[in-house]
Amino acid sequence: MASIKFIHTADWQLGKPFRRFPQEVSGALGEARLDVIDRLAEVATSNGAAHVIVAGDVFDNVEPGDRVVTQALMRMQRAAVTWWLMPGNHDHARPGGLWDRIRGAAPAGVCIVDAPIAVEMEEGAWLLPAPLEHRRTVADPTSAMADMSTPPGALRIGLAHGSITEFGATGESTNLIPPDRARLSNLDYLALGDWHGHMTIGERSAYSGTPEVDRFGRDAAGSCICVTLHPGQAPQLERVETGRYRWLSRRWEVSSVEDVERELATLRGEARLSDVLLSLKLVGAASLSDRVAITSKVEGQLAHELRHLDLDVANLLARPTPEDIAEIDIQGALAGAAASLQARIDAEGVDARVASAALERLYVESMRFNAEDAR
Amino acid sequence: MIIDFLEISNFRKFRDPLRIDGFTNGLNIVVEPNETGKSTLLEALRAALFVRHSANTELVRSYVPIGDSVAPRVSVGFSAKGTSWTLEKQFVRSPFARLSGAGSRRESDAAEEALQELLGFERGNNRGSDPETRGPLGLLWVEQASALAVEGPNRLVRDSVRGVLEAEVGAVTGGRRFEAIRAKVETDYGALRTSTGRSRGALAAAEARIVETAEARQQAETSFREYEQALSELEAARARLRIVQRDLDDPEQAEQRRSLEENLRTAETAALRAAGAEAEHGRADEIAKTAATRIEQLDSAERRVSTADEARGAKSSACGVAKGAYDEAAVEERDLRGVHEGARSEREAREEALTAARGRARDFAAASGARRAIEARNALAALEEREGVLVSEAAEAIDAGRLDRILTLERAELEARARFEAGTVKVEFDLSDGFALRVDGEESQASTFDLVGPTRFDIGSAGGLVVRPPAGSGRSLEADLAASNDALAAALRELGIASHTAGVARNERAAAAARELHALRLQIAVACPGDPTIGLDAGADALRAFVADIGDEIPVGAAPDDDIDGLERALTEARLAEVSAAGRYDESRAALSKCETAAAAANAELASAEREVEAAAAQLRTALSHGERAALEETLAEAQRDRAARAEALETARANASAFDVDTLRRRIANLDRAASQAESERLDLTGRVAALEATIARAGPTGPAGRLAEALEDEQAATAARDRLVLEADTLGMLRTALADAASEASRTFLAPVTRRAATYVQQLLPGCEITFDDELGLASVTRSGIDESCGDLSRGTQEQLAILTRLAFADLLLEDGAPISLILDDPLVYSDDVRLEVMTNMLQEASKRMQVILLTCRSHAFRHVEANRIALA
Repeated sequence: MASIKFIHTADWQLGKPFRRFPQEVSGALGEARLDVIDRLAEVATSNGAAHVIVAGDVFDNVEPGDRVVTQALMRMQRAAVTWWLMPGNHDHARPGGLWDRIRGAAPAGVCIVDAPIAVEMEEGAWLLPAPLEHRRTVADPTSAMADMSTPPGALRIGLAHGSITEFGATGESTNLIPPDRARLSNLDYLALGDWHGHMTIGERSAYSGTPEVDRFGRDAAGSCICVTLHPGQAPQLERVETGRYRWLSRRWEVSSVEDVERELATLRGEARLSDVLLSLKLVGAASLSDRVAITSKVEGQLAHELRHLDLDVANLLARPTPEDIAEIDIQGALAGAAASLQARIDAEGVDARVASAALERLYVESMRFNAEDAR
Repeated sequence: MIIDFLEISNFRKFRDPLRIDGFTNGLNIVVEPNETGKSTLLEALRAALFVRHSANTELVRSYVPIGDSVAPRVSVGFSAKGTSWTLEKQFVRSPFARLSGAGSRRESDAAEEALQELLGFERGNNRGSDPETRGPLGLLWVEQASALAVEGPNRLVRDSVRGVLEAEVGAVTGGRRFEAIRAKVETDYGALRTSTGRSRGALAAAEARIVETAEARQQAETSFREYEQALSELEAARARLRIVQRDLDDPEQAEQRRSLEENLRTAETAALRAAGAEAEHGRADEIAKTAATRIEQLDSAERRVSTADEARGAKSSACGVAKGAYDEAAVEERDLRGVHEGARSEREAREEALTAARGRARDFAAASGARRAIEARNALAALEEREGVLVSEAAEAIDAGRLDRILTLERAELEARARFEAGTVKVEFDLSDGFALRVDGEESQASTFDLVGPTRFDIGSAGGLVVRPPAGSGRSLEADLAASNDALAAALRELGIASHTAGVARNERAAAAARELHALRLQIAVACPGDPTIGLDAGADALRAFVADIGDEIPVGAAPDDDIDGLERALTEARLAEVSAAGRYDESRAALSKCETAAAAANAELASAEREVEAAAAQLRTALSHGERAALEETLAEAQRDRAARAEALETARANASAFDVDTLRRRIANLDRAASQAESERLDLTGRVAALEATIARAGPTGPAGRLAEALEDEQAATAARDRLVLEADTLGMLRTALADAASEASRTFLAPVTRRAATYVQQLLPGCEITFDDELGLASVTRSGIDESCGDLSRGTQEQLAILTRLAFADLLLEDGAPISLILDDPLVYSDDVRLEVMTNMLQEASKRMQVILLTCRSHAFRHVEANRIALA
């Protein structure tokens, strides 16, 4: 009986646009998704795996266009592995659609598994794919696996895309896969896609997660699973990091620029900031002068160190101190304006937020005048 | 500053030196009529204070009196900062400035600068016309032209006043800092929104970007939808194609068609047979019908023969009866014709007799008439002879006019004779016989001569004698007489009478003849009455003609003795008898005609009946030509049996044929064929459609419609987020801007309160219930009367002027408090004020003059007569 070693990956989401980011960021993120194909090939090669199986969502959508497709296929072509690509919900198979086209253009090492038919990967190892033909499928897409016959003693590797029934993290109720599919269909391993994080379900099923993270909420780096199957044994699963960019989410409770410094130091220890996209929520309350100093520190320094910063300061409340107000002016019209804005903030009406911003702006402008005046 | 004196020379109209002194600290009224130089004095004062001595402007040159080439010069004595000063300035020629006081003396520019320092103004435009540079003097110097305008004080005053106010209210506005920040905020806000709140700049661009990205997204959606649609259609088309293909390849269909065709063939054969049986049955039916018809025809012919024979018998006897009747009628007619002819002969004989009798009577009457006519003719001849005489006589009548003319001529002749006789020499000879008298040589027998000319009478040979009548008249009278005679003679000759008298007599005779002629003619008419019996009309002419025709001799026989009346009666009787006979004869003829007609009809009917008998016989022969009755009946029975057999066969054949409906079978086959053909056509269509869709997808797919849609969606979201950020920024700036503006107003209000308060004191006196406010520039911002805002521009000119003066007073008070006593100069003020206001104003000025110097220049001495003041008159 033969054993097999292969790389399990999923959710490449090639062609994801990232348009809400500045152009240089979105370009880099898009390229990183393509680059990860090379990385996966490296992982396969270095681990002695001859196959890379992709459990759906190779592409971000049903028709990303020739540029993305060609880029991807070229990268796959130059690797000495066999790529098994299966449609997921994002790039579900449609007759005459994307996958038919890719099949026409695919180089030798790329196999499209867009029909629920068992295929032999190599002698004694059969791939049982459950490709999706719709974005949402109410029926269990893996149900056909039970009826897929393979030669006796052959390794049965299931390939599916969807949520495990009791999983429910995404709240989706479609493309549901029973958690015991591996047992039900007598699978040696069920390679799952859809969940972008790494996760094992029992000893014979696992989500590889995306090799390159594409959204906040996944602090861990992108990865794949190097799977080794021996007949009759539990699979050996090894998580291998592949991702370039880290998507970190942080919530910093700060009230002074020193707090920021401290957090920043911690962050620097966690990751290489130039490859980090940071979703930062600043919370707490600070005097106007502190708040301005904090935001200026974050926007003027941290933002430049990072690949990208998503900053949310809505919950960093400004608590103007008498000193702050005095900085604006002790008396006269400026003091009057500051007082009227403060009154609006205190009234906590619908325009309190705007008033707070206005007061901060007044403070900033006063400081700027002082600075310019001093020069 | 307090002005003490003013001295000018060579200044415009003031060529000679003029010194005005005696200005006091209080109210000074300089009264002069117009054009005496009041304004020139102010101009000189302005020149001294504000125009640099070295200036060489047009204004300065205008100080030189017209036509002179002298140097204008002004000296002003004033007190400032507790010291008396004398300022001297000379312009244009050898210009100089000199300021002396406090034990010092400055010249030229140093003097000018010291003056500015002293009076708190700036170097202006050398025209002294820039109010911004004049300092407090400018404020308080109310020139004629500007007195009306309720303007704010100039900058120097503002600054001074601010200084005072800041000290008083203890407020710090932030000044430059506030303005700079506010300007920055305005700029930033203005970059995003217009003053009316419309988006502009980056915000407008962001909004435009949203529209743009939304459009792009819609486009991408459309493209993607079309792509998806193409995929769905392709799937459907392929599925359909498979079904169609399967249908086309379906072996069941072919089998079904084959079976149907077989059935069709069977059905067609059966139908053919049924048709044959039907034809044979039809033929048998025809034969049976023919046989039956022949028997019917035989029956009919026999019936006809018998009927025709009967009819002929009846007609024949009827004909005989008619003939008898006809003969009888003929006999009767002959008899009656004889009777009638007899009656006619009798009547003719009687008529002849009567005619003859009547002819005789007529001949006799004619002869009698002719005879009477002849007699009448003869009588008439005598009458007509006499008539001819009378007609001649009556014709002798002479026309009365002509007779009158004769009378006239006679009278004329008498007159002429009388005149001649009176004028002639009448010579009468009474010659003895033997003596021949010759007159002018001619022998004459006359014895009397009327001479009118010399006439020689020779009596024999006894010599002669010449008578010479007086010359002249004799000759013409003679001529007249001769003419009268001739005329008369001619007229008488014409009428055939000797004289007028004779004419009258003749006329009388003619009239008598005419009367007789009339009577005679009546007589003639009576004598010719006419006679109708002989065709003679009345009248002489008719009688004459009648008699001329018959000649004179007519024999007259004896009168006939016929009984004409009797003859006439006999004729009448004969006529009646004839009419009676004719009536009977006519009736018999009619009866004969009727019988004749009846006989002819009977004959015709008989002939017709005989023809019918012949026709019936012919029909019978024809009917029997097909055989005798028995044979015919046998044939019919045979045909009927044959027909029954054929009918049975037909029924069977029909039953066989109806087992399959050919039409239905054909329809089903056609349907199958059509379905197959349609499927074939659909397969073609679908194949084409699939190819087209594949091409569409192959074209659209590589462009990445889904990818582009995802990008477009994110672009739109990003654009919206960017817009939201800018909106928040704009809102923030908007609120800040408003807060700053509000704060500025509030500060101003606080800040200006002291000014307002002071001015209010004055304004209340003038306009009770009236409130005023000032703007940032210390200008009068608003006037509120009884709670209603009024724009200063809407106030009356008088009120504007009064407010202008009052606000100046208020500022002057402030400056005074600041330790800068000042001179309020009013050039001809309050010209628009009514008496009541004027009094209030003068009272206030008087009150103010206790605190400051007030110099009032006016041309209206009476207007200020009631005011207690230091009066200065211009020399």
